[in-house]
Amino acid sequence: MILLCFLFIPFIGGLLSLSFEKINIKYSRCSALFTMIILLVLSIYLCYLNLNTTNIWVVKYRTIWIDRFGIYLNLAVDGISLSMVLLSVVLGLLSIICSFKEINKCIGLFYFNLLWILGSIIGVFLAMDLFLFLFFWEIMIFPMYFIISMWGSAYKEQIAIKFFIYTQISGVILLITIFTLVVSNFYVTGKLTFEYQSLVNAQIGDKVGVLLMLGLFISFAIKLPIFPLHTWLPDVMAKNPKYGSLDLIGILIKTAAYGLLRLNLGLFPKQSLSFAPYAMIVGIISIYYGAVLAFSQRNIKRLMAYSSISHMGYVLIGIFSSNILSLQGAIMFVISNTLSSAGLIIISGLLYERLNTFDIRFMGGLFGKLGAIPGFALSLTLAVLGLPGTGNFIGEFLILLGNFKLYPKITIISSLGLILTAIYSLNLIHKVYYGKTKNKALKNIFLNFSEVNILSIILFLIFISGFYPQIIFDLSIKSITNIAQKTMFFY
Amino acid sequence: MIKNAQILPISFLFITLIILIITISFNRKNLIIFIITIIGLLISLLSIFLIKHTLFYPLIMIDNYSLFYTFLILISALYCSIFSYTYLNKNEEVYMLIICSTIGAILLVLSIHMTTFFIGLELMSIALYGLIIYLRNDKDNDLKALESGIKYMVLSSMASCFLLFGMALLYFYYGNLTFTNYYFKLDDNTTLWTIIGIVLILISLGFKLSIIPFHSYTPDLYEGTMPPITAFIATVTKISVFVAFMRLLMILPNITSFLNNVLTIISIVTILFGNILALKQNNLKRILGYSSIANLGYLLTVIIAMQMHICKFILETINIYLLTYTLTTLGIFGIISLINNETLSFYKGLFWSKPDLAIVLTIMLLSLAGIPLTAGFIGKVYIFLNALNYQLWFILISIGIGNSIGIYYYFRIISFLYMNVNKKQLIFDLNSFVYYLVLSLSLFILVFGLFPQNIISLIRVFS
Repeated sequence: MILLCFLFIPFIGGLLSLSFEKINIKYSRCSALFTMIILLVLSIYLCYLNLNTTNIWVVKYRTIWIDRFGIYLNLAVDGISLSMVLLSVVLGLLSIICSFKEINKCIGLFYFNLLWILGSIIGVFLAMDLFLFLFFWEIMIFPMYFIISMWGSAYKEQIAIKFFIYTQISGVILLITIFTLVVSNFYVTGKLTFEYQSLVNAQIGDKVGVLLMLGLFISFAIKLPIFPLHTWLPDVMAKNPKYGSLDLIGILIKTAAYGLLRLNLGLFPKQSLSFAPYAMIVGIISIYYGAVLAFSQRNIKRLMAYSSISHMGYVLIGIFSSNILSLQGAIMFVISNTLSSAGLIIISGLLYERLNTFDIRFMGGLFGKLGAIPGFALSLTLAVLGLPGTGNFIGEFLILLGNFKLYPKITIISSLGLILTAIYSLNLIHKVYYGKTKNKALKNIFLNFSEVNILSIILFLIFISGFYPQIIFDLSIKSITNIAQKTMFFY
Repeated sequence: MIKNAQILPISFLFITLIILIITISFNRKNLIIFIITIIGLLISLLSIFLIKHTLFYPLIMIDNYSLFYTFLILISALYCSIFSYTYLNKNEEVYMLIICSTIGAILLVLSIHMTTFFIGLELMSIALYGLIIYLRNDKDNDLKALESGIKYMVLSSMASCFLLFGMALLYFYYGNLTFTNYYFKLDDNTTLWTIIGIVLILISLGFKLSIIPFHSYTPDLYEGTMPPITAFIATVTKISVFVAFMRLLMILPNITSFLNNVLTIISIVTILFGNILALKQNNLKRILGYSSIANLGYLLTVIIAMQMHICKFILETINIYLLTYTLTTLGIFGIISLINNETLSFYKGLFWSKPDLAIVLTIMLLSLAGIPLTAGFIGKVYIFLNALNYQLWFILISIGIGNSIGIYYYFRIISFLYMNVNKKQLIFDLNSFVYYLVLSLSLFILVFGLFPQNIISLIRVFS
């Protein structure tokens, strides 16, 4: 029952804040904030439950939804989804606090969209029925479209439609794949079911299995995004409202990583294993490609987008090497990378507020001028490049360590990409914060209380995950062991 | 006598028609005529529940399937006449023509014989000619209406000729005109003429359904006619012809693999081009015209599946898809007839002046695009499952591509709705009946999208 509440609270909260807009703007802000706080409390309670059970599934909820197709409202939480849910709730809370100052038009509608995105993302993480997964996966798109097209900057309609077409293609591929899986399972067992637990044991032929696995892989790779399918991300990032892009990078990407972990490895362990080398090669290409392109960008936000493409290569490698170490590394890396890039995006928004530009060429010599911003930016950038002591380092290290046993060459090549990461992020720091001051019209606004708090919370979380990563490992160890054992069987 | 009571909906409509003719010649009061029409439609709608399954051999068959579509047709006729009451306040003959056309459509749905089939088709389309060329005392629109009416008349009568010729050719071989399994047997002895006859019939029906090689009149027709009448064309004619087409093909056993391949190619082309052609249109009704072409393309795939193996699931798919399509189309045209403007740029920033209408229109468009939470998603799921179940891979891929293209133009309209433009206040009556009808339709679509189980099990009874 707690899961059902968890699922519906953001949707109801969104509707409430939409309807409160007519009465008073403050009410809708408060209701959005209040919704997120309830969610945070609930997810911490779930964490507490998780530590006290030995069962893989912490809480389950199951009731019939559409009897005709054997579709259940089947929700369950395990360590992996719990860590993802916790992360998205924290990020959602931060983005709502951020948006208090930023969003001035149609506030109710903005919170409605934001909360619906969050709700559908939580739905994706909780859904244990593939139809439900698909349902939330597709719902997620259209509030995102509205956020881009209503609160974005120039050319927002075209960008929004570009984003929408990409994600829709991914959605259609996912839909076809899942239905094919269900129908072929129906032919074997004579039972029409969409449930994850029973589809795990489905008897699928090898060829069909490879095709289905590829379908899942492509549809998640569009969302992740990975090298040949990435072109929507930089545009969308550049044209997004700053707090919308916080959401985008933080949350949309994680759903794809979660999908790869849960569906690809969970449903098709054997086929994923045989596909692993190719997936890793794609990952290496996107590591290098993203890093090289990030180096030559002039817009900070485009730079962030390419850097996240580059980082997702590591996540891909970590997921597909599929042993306990690298999977834990991947989850760790997703969490800390999301946090650090979210921090950097907030900082780029703050810089825009002061300098009125995202262009790196018009910045420079900002160190010592804007109060605490350069300090935060420096530490967050160091986190992005994976300095020991931050979660990113732990993540990268574990991914590479776990992968080295199986694919040493790929590990060596991909670890060289870390140098490129260091180069572009230090280059960014150098160009923006050191050197001569180029911008005369600098508004020297100091950070206000809430911004300092947000940035410090993000930094604090990154350092906690860097110095004591065991917290996050403990959350997800049981279910990761389960997945890794399943693939181990096929080595 | 008891047996004849089984065609109650048609007889009630006939009685309504006669009363209407008499009243119009005495008393030309719009409201009275409208009320008589509504009462007639409602009575015949209620009379459906009294009917039992019967077979009037060899002309008419009444089963659950045809009853369901009679219901759907009557509902859409009801909605269209209400739309036209608010849209034009003076002309009473519209209702007469609508009822006449509805009778034809119902006859078409019930028919299992070529004669009733032809009579129904002609009754429906001849009344439609009058509806299409309905002048509005507005120079631009009238010219368009005339153009589309003449186009439709010429092409439609051509199609009828094709149909008649095809029927004659079939009669030449089988000596019978009923749609029964027993007679239509294709084997090695089948002459070329018979196959040509079947092809001619398919062509004429393809014209009525506006499948791609025969589609060119559709967008003009949609653009030229008044919104209520467009709603009528988009729902009643499409439903009835499609259902009759289904019945014809259900009887024709395995129309040779060659024809099946042709149907496959036609449906793929219809899906892809129907969606592609809609991309660059600037008139909302033209876009909907192309989208209706694409929707019928999705439905055609079901017919191809039916050629392989008939099972209940196919009928269920058609029922659900046509239901969602009808409701969504009615809703959209209801809004268009409320706003009374069809250029896309007029809809810029509708959200800021009329938020409720914009939200309803958004729900309808999302449902056409097949986004979850709306009824359209359930229909899409059915179509996909059907294509997968029969392993029609090319069709599956084309449905996927067509769906992704379709998203583009639906969302183009939606992005127009939410553009931030300062605009003058729209003038229309929000308290009109149509507004509540459209609102209830959108609620129904949402409920169907969220809790489809009840409606699915209801429809399973009818299929």
